[in-house]
Amino acid sequence: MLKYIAKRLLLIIPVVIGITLFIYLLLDLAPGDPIAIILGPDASPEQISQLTAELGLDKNVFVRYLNFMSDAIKGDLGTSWMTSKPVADEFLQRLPNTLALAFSALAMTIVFGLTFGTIAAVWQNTAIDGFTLILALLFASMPTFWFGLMLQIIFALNLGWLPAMGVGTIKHIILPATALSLGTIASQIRLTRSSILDVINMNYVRTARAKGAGGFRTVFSHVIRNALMPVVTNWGLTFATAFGGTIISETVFSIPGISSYLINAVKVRDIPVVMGTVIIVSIIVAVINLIIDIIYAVIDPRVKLGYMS
Amino acid sequence: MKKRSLALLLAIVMFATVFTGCGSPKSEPAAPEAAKTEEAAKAEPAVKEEPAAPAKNELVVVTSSEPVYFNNLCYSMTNLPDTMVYSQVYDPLFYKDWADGGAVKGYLAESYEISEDGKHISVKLRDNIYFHNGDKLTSEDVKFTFDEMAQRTLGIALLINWESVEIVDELNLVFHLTAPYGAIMNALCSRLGYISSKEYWEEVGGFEGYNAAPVGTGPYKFVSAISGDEVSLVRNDEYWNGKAAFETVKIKTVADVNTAVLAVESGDADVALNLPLESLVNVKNPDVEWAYDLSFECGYMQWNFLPESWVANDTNFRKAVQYGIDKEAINQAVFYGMTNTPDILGDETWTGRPAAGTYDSYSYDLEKAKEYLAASNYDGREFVVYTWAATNLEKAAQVMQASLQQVGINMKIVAVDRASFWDVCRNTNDWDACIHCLGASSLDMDAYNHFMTTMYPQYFNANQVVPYGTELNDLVLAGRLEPNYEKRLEIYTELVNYINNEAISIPLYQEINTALFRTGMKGVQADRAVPINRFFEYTY
Repeated sequence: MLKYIAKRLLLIIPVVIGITLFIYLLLDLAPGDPIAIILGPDASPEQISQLTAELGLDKNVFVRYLNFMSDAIKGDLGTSWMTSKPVADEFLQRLPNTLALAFSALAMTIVFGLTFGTIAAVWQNTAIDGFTLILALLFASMPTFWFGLMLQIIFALNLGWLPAMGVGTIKHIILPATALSLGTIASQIRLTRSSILDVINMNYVRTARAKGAGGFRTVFSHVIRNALMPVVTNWGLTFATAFGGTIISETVFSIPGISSYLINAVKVRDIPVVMGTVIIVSIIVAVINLIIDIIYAVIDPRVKLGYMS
Repeated sequence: MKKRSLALLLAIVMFATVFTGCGSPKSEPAAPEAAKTEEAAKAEPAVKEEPAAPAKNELVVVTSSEPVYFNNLCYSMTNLPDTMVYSQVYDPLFYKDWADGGAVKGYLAESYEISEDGKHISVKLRDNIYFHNGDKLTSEDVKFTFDEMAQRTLGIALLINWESVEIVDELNLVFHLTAPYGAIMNALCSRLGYISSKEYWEEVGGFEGYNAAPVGTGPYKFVSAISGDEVSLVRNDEYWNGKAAFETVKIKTVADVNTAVLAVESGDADVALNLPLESLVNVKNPDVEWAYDLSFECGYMQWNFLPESWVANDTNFRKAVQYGIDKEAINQAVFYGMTNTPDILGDETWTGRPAAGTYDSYSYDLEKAKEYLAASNYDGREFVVYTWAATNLEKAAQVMQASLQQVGINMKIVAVDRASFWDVCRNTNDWDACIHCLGASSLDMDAYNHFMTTMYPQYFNANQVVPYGTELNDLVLAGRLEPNYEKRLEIYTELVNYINNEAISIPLYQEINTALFRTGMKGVQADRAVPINRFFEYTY
């Protein structure tokens, strides 16, 4: 098992190199002059050439990439070209907000998705099933920014229950996490429902019932556990989706997270910020997926045996 | 029955998990207090809230762009949101008093005098002004600030003909210029004039240290800044010009304009500055009010004057465009009729600007535009205009496209982000014209220098050849150097006549500054021209 984890951790290295190289080349190819943005239109040619040299923009793109990565390996993600602040400091300041948002959205997705998906499957082809599927369709169809705005109007402006923006308390996270998880809840409901339906009519479930197991016990002990594999696989993707989707929630609810940090940096071609953020985010997503893989082993002993062999 | 029990159980588990996970108001220590405040606010109408309002000690101001630099001596160009912090933490040496027609007045300067030749400005500082760290403001600090600023991007752009600062004594000093500069007093009123402490600068090791914990002489002291979130300030109780009404100030960055409006409407924030007009015109909430004024930023069309550009070599086409743009339609469509329709840069508050009727003007005239087009070499090709995506400029370009279509011009809009815009306009010939927005911090006709002449070849492509470029350069330089105001007016009249007759540039509109605030707040107004809102003046 440890060997497997070590192997998976090592696999993160080429993934990060691949992603960062791709992003670096893409940024280099994209039109846009960061110097013009930093210095403004009144900058003299001397100032422009001086800053170009200072930032190393006069070097070949691969040389710049290698320089950046060698610094990054040493833990130096550089300094933002726009704010002159260390990227790592700003990133770490913002990371908890994004993680809190993404994990809250994931938690809501798991709780609501599993619950409604199970209910829909158990009551297949009934009004409850229909209602749940319509609900899932509704959730999937609503754009996050629009739903977020509606939540703000209802719960912040009209009812005054929750803050419309910002961070600081758990109350601040409820509306953005709800808006963020809407789409993933919908897909989780549908996936859970279909997984359970695949399992619910299996012979061993029928056997369990025949042996006198109650409905509750049958569903929890025999159905859900066996139906969970594809659902759990989806959690990794859900987290990646939620993590990527935080940009909308962060913007609408004014949360100082890393997504808004990254997007602002892309707009002004602030390469150290973009690269630093991409590196850490790709590592986080890779690690989360590794954790999901380990959860497989906990759920299904056959997988654990596979890892061990 | 078993199925129902299971469903009920699952539902209970789901709600219990969610609500215990998210936390109830009871479990959150700060929540009851916040809830009480919100409830109290909701229970009473807006007018009745006023007696309780003085108890509010914190002012929350929302801005859509994040202040990044907290000291104006930064090496790159400062952003306008930074000014929001400068205006609270620092004091300017001079300011423009808009209540007095924009007259230049001393702030930290008790008095000033300009020599007859316009090359020397003698300044006497107010006595007994102290920085937040207790250091006394002296001539040394002013000299230090301007010596440093003269080497920064902002200073290079605005401190024209700047030579040096001479200290006379602790409170008196003289600014020396190599030659007169007509807009020098306006420049000194801009954001470059916030004074830093020389001693503190040396103590903290330069800009990095100063920017991390800035001290000024202003009405608020800097406390902290959380990246992407907020800047916290606390009242300077020893402020020389009186005590501010609010004990603390939070400047919050809210990128989404709808959220910013909601924040003020719900009472999460007290003021939101410089939101776009479209987010405010439909606000019908008695709890909030909003105001607007003309900004110092202009939406402006610039031609591609590279020698091989077809528009550069076709004055009749440029005139057709000049007469074919319906600026009032832009004003109505983009600014709800709240801005102006300029035929030259700026508005009547700009110094050096000729009065209406004293220069060669033009206005929207479809027939005239068609006549010019017929006389031009235009063959129906695409007239490619670059602009900044998702801005008022893009909307203005769309209105312009419609009005030029009536003339018979096939205008193509290419809306890109700013970085790409500068890349294309500086390094390629793929554009015929561009529409962009620039602010002239000098609030003077010298802005033509920055906006369009070949005197700043680095501005666009260095190889551009502006028609009558030599004459324009001579006039711009003469206007810049002329100390006599009447003579400056004559020079700029001649300049704008050249520009309008040759359709060398086309100003489209002036941007609008706005302020959305809670009903009952006093002292809040949209900034006139340059954003310098001072929260010191706000009160409930």
